[in-house]
Amino acid sequence: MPAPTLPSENPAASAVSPSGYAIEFDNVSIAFDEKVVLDGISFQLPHGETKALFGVAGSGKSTLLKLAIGLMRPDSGRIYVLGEEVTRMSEQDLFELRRRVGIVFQESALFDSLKVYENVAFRLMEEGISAEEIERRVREVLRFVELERTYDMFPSELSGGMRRRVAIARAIITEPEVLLYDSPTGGLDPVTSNTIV
Amino acid sequence: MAFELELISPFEVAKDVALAVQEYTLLSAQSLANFFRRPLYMGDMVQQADLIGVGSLPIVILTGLSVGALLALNSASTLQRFGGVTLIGQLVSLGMVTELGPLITGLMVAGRNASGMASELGSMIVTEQIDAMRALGTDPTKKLVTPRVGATAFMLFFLTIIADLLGLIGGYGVAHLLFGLDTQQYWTSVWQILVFRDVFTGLIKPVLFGFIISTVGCYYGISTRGGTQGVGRSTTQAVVASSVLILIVDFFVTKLIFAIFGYR
Repeated sequence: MPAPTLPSENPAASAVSPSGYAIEFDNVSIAFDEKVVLDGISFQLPHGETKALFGVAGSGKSTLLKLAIGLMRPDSGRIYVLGEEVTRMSEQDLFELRRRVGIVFQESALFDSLKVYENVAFRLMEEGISAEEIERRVREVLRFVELERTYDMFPSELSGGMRRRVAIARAIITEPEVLLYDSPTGGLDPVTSNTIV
Repeated sequence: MAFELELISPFEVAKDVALAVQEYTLLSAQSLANFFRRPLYMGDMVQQADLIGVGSLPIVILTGLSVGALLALNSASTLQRFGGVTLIGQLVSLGMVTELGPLITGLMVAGRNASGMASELGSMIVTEQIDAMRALGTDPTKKLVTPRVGATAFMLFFLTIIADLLGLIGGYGVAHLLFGLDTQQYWTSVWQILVFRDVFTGLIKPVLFGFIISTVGCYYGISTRGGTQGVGRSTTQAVVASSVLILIVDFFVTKLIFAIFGYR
């Protein structure tokens, strides 16, 4: 099913200046086993703006987000994130770019063998930041999502909504330039949804 | 209820096999290349060494002891007919150090750890944890595969030495208690029969087997598709493939070493 083309905030700029946007999709298509999931998608997301994507289940919303950070490669078209052409980058170069982008997966995708603070601090630990600084920032961001009490818990001990908020904490701890949320309130009750939003 | 049998073209099967071999080769090469790239994740490597090495110790002790004892028992009954019971030590020593020690340890660790790696990484794939790791800017091959490869090859080397030693002790138990062989006579024959080639063969194999166990386990884990059922399938395939590969590589390594050092 061809997905609808999203409206562009600034159509005139799309042809010449991909680096002017936080994210730009240019005629992107992808199919899985003959089934076309995204067909000629083009849109731009300027810096500092928010774009919401709506669609029925299976219409390719998650695929689009995964394409944006290079977890998948499109069959055709070009994708630019923070001025870099994701579709041409090697996996090693993508690791660098992804450190500037945060993503919250639909099912949270927390590391189940790590505690909450280790999950949230994962990227900071990789960067070799001191233990004191890591603890301070983890507590700060967990306080922001109202889950400081879960610091020492495992993801399996948390509810679905709590897991989603921990995933948000993990995504925002490094203050990334672009944040991607995959159905952040999907399957949650209205109260938890409001807390997340 | 009607069943439909789907026919698969042999070319498709051959293509899938070629693709799997290519992906496995790439993963193996990448896991080795990562030893020369920073960061090295020493903490993860030590943790895996503990899980694989210390965790496998009881099973290796048990199998080493019983294989050595059985080797002595079976060979002694034949040797006795020719009045050659004194040769038990030589037979156990050669058998354990060059062949059975590395092989049995490799197969035991493959059963225990290739399955563990495949199921752990497979679960991480189906719950998008590997994607999350990539999205967080961390290379899963570097963080998950390389520490397992290093730890398995390193620990299997020492586990094999332990299995060899316990096999010799098991053989001594049988030779001394059941066939009345003198202690000094047994250990002297054990020591004297071994030459550099035997020890070299016995110590190079576990490193290769460790590499096979970890890369096959990780490959099947990372290529898992199809939810929990897929994890189960990957686990089984990892054990079967690593065991078969160990047996094949064992044959060719033995043959190669014979070709280099010559036959006895």
